[in-house]
Amino acid sequence: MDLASVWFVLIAVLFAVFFLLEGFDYGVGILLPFLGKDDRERRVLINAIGPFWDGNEVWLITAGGAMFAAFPNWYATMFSGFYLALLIMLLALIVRGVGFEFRSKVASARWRQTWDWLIFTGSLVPALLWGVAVANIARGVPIDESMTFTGDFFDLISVYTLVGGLVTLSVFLLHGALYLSLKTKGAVMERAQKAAMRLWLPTVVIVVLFVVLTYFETDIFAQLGVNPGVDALGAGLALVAAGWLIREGRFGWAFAMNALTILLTVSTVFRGLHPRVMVSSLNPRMEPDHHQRLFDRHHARRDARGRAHLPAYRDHLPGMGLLDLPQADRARRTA
Amino acid sequence: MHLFAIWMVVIGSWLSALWILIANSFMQEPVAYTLNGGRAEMTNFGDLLTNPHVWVQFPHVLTAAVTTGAFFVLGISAYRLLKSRGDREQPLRDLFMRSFRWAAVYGAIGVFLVIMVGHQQAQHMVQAQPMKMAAAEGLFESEDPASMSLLTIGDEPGRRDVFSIRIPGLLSFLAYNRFEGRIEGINDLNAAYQAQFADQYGPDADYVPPLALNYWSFRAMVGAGFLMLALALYALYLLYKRRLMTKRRFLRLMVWAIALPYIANSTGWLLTELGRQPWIVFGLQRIEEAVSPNVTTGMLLASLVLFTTIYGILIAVDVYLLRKYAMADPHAKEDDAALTLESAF
Repeated sequence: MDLASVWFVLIAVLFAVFFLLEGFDYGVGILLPFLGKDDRERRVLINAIGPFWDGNEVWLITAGGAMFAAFPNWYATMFSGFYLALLIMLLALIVRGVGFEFRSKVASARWRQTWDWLIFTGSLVPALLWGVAVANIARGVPIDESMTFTGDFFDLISVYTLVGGLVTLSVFLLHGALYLSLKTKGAVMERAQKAAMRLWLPTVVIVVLFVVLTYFETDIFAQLGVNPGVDALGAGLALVAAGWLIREGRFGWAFAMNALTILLTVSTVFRGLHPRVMVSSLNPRMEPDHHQRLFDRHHARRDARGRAHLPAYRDHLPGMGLLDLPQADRARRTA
Repeated sequence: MHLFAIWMVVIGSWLSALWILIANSFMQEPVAYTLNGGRAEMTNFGDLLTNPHVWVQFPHVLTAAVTTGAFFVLGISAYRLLKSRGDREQPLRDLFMRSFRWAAVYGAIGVFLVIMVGHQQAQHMVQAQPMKMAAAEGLFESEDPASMSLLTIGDEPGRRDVFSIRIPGLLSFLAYNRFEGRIEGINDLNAAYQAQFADQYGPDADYVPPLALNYWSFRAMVGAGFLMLALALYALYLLYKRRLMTKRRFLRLMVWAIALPYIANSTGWLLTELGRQPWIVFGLQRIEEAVSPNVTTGMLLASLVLFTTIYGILIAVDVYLLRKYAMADPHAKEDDAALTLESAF
């Protein structure tokens, strides 16, 4: 494996662990006003993630730092392309973090309620936006030959990307509820368990919808081949297993399975991207012969390892598959 | 365990400051790179760490941080000393007397070192970024020996003095540690840069940073620094003479002096960043080359307004909470900590 691929895997791992860890504290933040009926219960909820949430966020900073160091073009295109979206995310994260720190500092009901709702909003917005971002990266955004994002904020919002946002939102909510089922006692725990039970089915429905849409909206399936791989299948199985385990009342295992779902989903997405880091939508897929292209995808060439190779347009038309991994990998494919 | 955690925070903060300043120093004085097709690539990690700019900037920031901490504690202690009355509050007075004493010692050492290191930094700046020094001094024409401005009213678009009171030789001292030596003025430097970078940016490109802002930032920073030195030394003198408690006006002043290190830190940072203009990386890349092509002015304005609003609100909340805690009984039980242990598991 060349150095670029090593870094690609490393960044994938950082994001996977980030979503796994930060996922539950986003979930707890969103559930805060609903599961905590009084001030004491809400403090119990916040204290359940109190020592961890800021440590969890460091994974994101490290992932961003690794992108900056290893793939400056990726970093530059994504961070300036998603400028407003990332601005909203950052503001939400600021408000959320301050909320955790300041909430219990003044013994006034209004003060605490205000911060509780800010924590809720500050957790909801990023939980949703992460899915929107990932869906955009997978589907492709308008990036021209100079690696400049040419769209605007509203290009990032579509049915597909919003469903992507609902996926992360629902999975993180479930993750948070399962986490609280383990970390709390008494009435709060019972409510968390009930929430996990109610959340599971909608989560599955949204995930299935997203997977179906992904088939039509992205080339990830073509990229992965007919058998999408152990990680993709495993992610689905783990989510199903989580549902069964919740019903059985085995919340520890259910949490572990949901965690596995998150890890394996991130793995699938990154594998579907490889060797690209971002997909450009300024490509033939958006042209009127879209269905022909879909057809082509099923008849894509396969290499010795059975991996699908898309028809030539992936490699040769300008602006397509932009921001590939540099050097070695590209050389191999064009050779 | 607590002590270990405290030291980890200290070490973490220092390391964090170090790496941030190594990154910033590359922008001030790029080293350890080669240009490869318009892209700067690092050649030697060690050279990046030993960038001379790091080792004048890092100590300046570290000692400034010590000073900030000291003046914060001095201010709070002074406030509590003012407020505590009667025999019953004697233990409180003892506590805050102790913190005042230590903070005065730290503050005096800290601010003295900041000024000394700042002097070093200025000498380095004249070599590495002479334009920054000229802008900070409002020195339009070169001088030898160079005078330091007490008050300059300049004609910024016209690039000339309108009115100026200057102390002869002092700028040469600041720059070379002796009372002679030529300091290049803004107009000469601009002409020199125009000749040097004519191939890249054309003969008429401008290399002058925003002058008034640099000039007044420098003055606010140095002014606040020397004021802090005076206050810290006077505090030590009063402590030595055991007359601190009789000087209530001075104690009240020390509460307001909490603002001084913040003024100095902010204006110092303004100076170092604005003085580098119009470069994003000094001598390598101008600001306009670094702008993301797809980020519009409107987007930047939106983010600036949003950040300013949020941080404005946070400052207000912060000051409110700091005030509340500064006035709270230091021996009060922390009830929130107790709840964490009881119910999180």
